[in-house]
Amino acid sequence: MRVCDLLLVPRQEVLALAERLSAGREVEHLVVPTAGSWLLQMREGVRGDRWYIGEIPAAQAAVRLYDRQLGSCRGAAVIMRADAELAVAAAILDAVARASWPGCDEIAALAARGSAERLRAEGQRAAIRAATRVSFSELGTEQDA
Amino acid sequence: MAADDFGFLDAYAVREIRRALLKALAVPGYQVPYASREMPIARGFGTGGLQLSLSVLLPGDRIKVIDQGADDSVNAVNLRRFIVAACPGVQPVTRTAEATVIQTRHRIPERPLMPGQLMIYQVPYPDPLQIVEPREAERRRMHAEGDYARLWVKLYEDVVRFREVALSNRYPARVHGRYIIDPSPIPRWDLPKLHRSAVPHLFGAGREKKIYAVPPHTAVEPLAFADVPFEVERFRDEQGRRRRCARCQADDTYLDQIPLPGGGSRWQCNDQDACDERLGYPDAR
Amino acid sequence: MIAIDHPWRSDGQRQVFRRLLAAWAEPGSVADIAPWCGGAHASLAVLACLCDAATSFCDADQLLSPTDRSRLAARPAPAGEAAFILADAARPPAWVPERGSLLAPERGATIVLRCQSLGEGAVVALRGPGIAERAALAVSGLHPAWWTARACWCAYPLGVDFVFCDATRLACVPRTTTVGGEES
Repeated sequence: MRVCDLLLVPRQEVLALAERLSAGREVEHLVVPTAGSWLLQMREGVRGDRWYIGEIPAAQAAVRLYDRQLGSCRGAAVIMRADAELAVAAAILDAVARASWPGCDEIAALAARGSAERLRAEGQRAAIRAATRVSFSELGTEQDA
Repeated sequence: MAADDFGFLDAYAVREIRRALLKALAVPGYQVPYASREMPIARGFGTGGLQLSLSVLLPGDRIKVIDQGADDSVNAVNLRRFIVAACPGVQPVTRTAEATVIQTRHRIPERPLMPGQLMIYQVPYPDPLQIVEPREAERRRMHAEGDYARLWVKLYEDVVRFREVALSNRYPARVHGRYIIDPSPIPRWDLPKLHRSAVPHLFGAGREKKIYAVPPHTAVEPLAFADVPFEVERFRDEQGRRRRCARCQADDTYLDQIPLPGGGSRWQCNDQDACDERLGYPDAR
Repeated sequence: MIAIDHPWRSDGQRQVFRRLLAAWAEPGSVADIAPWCGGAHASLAVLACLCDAATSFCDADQLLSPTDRSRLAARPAPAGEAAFILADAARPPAWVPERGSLLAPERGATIVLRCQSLGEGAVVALRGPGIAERAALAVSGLHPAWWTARACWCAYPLGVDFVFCDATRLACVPRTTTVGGEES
């Protein structure tokens, strides 16, 4: 299961599943769920000056779930989207999946749908690329009519 | 894009500006580098000042934005609109006396600032050494060592050639006896207002990615020679009398010269609100 | 789904920062930030509005719970390297903080000192930028070694900046302030 593929299914479904799996359980935030732009810092090679190559939207969350019967488990998520709520949902699903708590099969199913979506998109892109493929070795042999 | 529901800037950007602001106040006049983020306004149109305003504003604040002394110029209106839209609960005002935060380009209000107010400047060129040294790394070294010799030489050459320092605005000043700042393009007239001021002055240069500050009650001394003292604009007419504002008759404000169609010119307060205040806000009634 | 209380809420952190900024600009003035502390110590609220993963932090006297330290998200660093240090004012410092360099004086550490009470105890006179003539700051439960250590650490423009916090209030003494001994 690729948990990151969860981000490829509609946002509402991820939130709904996380909502359901955290219902009746206490959610403790280990980091403050934050969304924003992260700066990618580089160090220039000659003088060693620091500079910023750019910024990416990102959100992070880390949670601990408490369940009366099952005890506690931890999960975390960093996503490349400025969406703190989605990051928290992903962290909750990560926690449940890693602890193999009841419901982890639902997470796996959801992630599998995301994986299928990813493979479909990758296939589509490969097809588009294939159509633009140029065989340079043949260019010289082609004769003008 | 922004995730915070107040102030447009995201949590990471705003914390970095907070840290830079505190260090800027702790080392008055020193230009603290920071990562200036992309804003929905082009760099060079006040993004530095805007980022500072967005970082410090609170619901309930009253913001005044001026550009060249006017509240109603295109830039000031756009910035004010954006700030008010991004900061629910912040009220736009034009009266200096009512503002809690004043974002400015090119002027400091004539009306003395009151404790509790914050001045925020849009700065195009933060470094006074730029006129004598193009390389930033070298300028940083010069500031670090307090090596301002070349700036002094430039001022001296001005005195030799023009009998005065040929800078009408951005006049360099020494803060707390150490760093020399570019006070942004305010006229000489406004420079003495920074000296032992009642309020903090925060400078943001978005394109150049620098923040610096002058705390309240801090010495700000314009660079000058013992025999060629610093002087503000005099606004004298041909007979040597102080010109008055044609509108409010003030003879103690910074004046704009407005050419008249038939030749000659009219002199008028540059600070629109100060002029209106003196006239008892005639348009408000 | 995100239910988080002060001092971790961004609206409260704005309120705390504005008061911190005002107090920092006027050394010795005391600001009350109780409404945005959420019952936590004011020192935590101060750190929460300033720290994130881009900065470093040292909990020199282990004053924070592991959860609070994790929520600050700052890189843990030894006291000698951290940008922010939290320490117990009652204990003398057993370390030397980062003081910055001439090329980067802003790297000088911010030291948050948890003390018993502001406005009570030994009074010191303050002078310098941000102060009209002279200000007075009373801190109870402050080990006198902090003032002597500060005098060693601060050689303008290098130095460290102090934020004193009691349970609900804060007061600042940045590196530019001259601390003029006790007043009678």
